[in-house]
Amino acid sequence: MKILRLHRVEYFVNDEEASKVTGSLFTMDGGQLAG
Amino acid sequence: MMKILRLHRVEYFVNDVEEAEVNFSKLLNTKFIDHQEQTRPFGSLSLMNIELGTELVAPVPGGVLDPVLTANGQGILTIVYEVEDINDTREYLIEHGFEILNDAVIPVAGGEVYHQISLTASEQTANIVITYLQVTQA
Repeated sequence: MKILRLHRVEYFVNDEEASKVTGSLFTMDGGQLAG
Repeated sequence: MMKILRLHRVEYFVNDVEEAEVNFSKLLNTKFIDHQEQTRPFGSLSLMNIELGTELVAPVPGGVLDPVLTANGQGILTIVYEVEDINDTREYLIEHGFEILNDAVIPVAGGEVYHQISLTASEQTANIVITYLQVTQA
């Protein structure tokens, strides 16, 4: 097995509103919000 | 303005860093670089593999992180994003009202210096401690 890279973090959030707030922390695609 | 460059690493918070090294070396089929000497003064015993974005962290017994492990158990300690400029980032975070948990300068093995700002875990951060990092050379 060869791991290529850490691909993404999935943040598990309560609702869309919460992810909008958290999204303001980032200014480019450094992670993923999942809900 | 804050600019995020990339997802830098996930820090796994573990009971025993040597035991975790055995497990994660198998899980990821890789090796880790020992940063324990450099991170010990900050209360953590750390092994890293930055290419794979992975750090294993155990608390120094009796150190500042020890009660955190006792309270929370093993899990994700923090998710770290690399930024272009840590001072711009600090300004941005304060401006947006985020609560800073920790603001530290940590020399790591290999001559790099990690300038890191961590936010307190909250509803806004999906209960994860999010950390911002600028890497410089010593």
